[in-house]
Amino acid sequence: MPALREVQAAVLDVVLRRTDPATHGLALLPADARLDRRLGVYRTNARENFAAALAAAFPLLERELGAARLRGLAADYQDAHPSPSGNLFDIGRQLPAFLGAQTGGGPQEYLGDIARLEWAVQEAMVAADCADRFDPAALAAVPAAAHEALSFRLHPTVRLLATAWPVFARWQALHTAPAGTPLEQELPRRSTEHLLVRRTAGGIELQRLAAADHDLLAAIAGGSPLGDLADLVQAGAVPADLGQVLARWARAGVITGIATG
Amino acid sequence: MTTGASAAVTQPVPARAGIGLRAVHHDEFLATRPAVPWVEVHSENFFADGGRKLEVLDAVRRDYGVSLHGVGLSLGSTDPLDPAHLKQLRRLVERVGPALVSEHAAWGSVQGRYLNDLLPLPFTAEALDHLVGRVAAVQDYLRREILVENVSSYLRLGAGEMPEWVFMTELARRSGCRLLLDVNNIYVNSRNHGFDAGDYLAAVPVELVAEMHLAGYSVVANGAEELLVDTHDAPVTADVWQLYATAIARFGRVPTLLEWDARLPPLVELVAEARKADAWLQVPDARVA
Repeated sequence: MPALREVQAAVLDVVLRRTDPATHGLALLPADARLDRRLGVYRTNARENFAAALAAAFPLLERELGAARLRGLAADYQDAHPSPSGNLFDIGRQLPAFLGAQTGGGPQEYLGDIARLEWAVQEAMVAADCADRFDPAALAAVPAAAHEALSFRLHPTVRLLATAWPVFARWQALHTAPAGTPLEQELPRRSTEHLLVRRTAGGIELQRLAAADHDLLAAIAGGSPLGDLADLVQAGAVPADLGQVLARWARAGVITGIATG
Repeated sequence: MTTGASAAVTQPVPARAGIGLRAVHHDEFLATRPAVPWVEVHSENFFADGGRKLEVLDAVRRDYGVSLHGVGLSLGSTDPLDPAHLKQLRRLVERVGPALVSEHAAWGSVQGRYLNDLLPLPFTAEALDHLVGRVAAVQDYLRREILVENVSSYLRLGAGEMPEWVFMTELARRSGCRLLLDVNNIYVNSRNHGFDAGDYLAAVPVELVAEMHLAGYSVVANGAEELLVDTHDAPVTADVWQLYATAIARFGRVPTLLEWDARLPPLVELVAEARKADAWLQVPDARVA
């Protein structure tokens, strides 16, 4: 009998790629007509578990495509990106890029942005809890000479998106249309949108942002210190009233603290 | 194996029947607080840094015994154990302080590709040596005993060298784990592979069994044969209840989990199904293990 590793590699290929066990020299039992149907249980499980997990993580995408087309997409995606871990959560990570490449230039190109939004929601749902609120006294205590080097912390659940398609309205439609019904909306027209996703006590929250707010928060998320943010103001890339804007996001619980040094 | 260094156990898991707590029942469970002594959750569903699911689990663990049941560690794989998966599991164990932690005598991945399913191992000396080492490594990493469950299977990866029950018994003896004996899986395999389920139960040493599972199966027409598939989507069948009675007679009162993962019934029906198992466990002459 082949070594265990060879057996496992061959069986995985038989199940995932639907190859013939005989081509791998596998002696699976029962060695008769029953084998193919028995293998079918594992082949079906591999497809169904993957597709069901994807549908659960991308409910808006399923509404857009319908259950049957999502299953087809899931099969193509699984062939290109087999599950990378024992945690089914991880299978969705590559879907936005995969879908973007599949639909790029066509009428359903917006689906890539839908998938990006839903993956951001997935990440926000499992991100760390944080009860911290921005403390102005902590900022006041930082010596003026150190202001340029200090940076701000965003709430761990915050995700920022700049999309090429307006997906905010599609998201709202998902939550208002009765379950099981198709989304009765015209296909969106290409138009840039900036979004903030975060988890609050009430659940997932999605809001539209002005481009300048998005760019400012993205710079903070990237670790840019206050000095660099001031440079962005000079360049006209972020709001000129930087102090007021930072205070607004602090009051909203999006900025939760500062880091010095 | 080193033991005893994880977080304090919250509530114990008594020798009674618990239920598998799934996401669709989370809110109702917390609102109604059903009278079940313990629950089992799938570990991977709580691999998170924060969020609602962990809040639910924190609330449940204060009042109920908790068992963490893994489905994704791929214990029998010949790939290295996934360090990220192990790290998340240990973090969850430390947070929850479960009375029981369990996984499967199965594999679901190789060469970095995962099926997210439980495939059988060949019952060979090579596979046994491999699995013993893996279970021991996991126990060392978690600093506690784990339970390992026998799985349903629909084919054999070669003729094998020993019966399944010898494989499982040797696994437990050599690794220091104990067994989560899935009675439904034994029944399913006995029908699919043609052995006497009673022989299986009779061969497993009493002291190695720490928990049992019950679930419903489906019958799939497979040409001339009827193939039994472990679908966890139906009530426990009469023949499995009968085998469970035999198991209790041999192993005594052991914590028993009513598994139901697909086409889930209302919570009240799930609890009622678990109470059937509880009734078996309360039979006066059932020995206390």
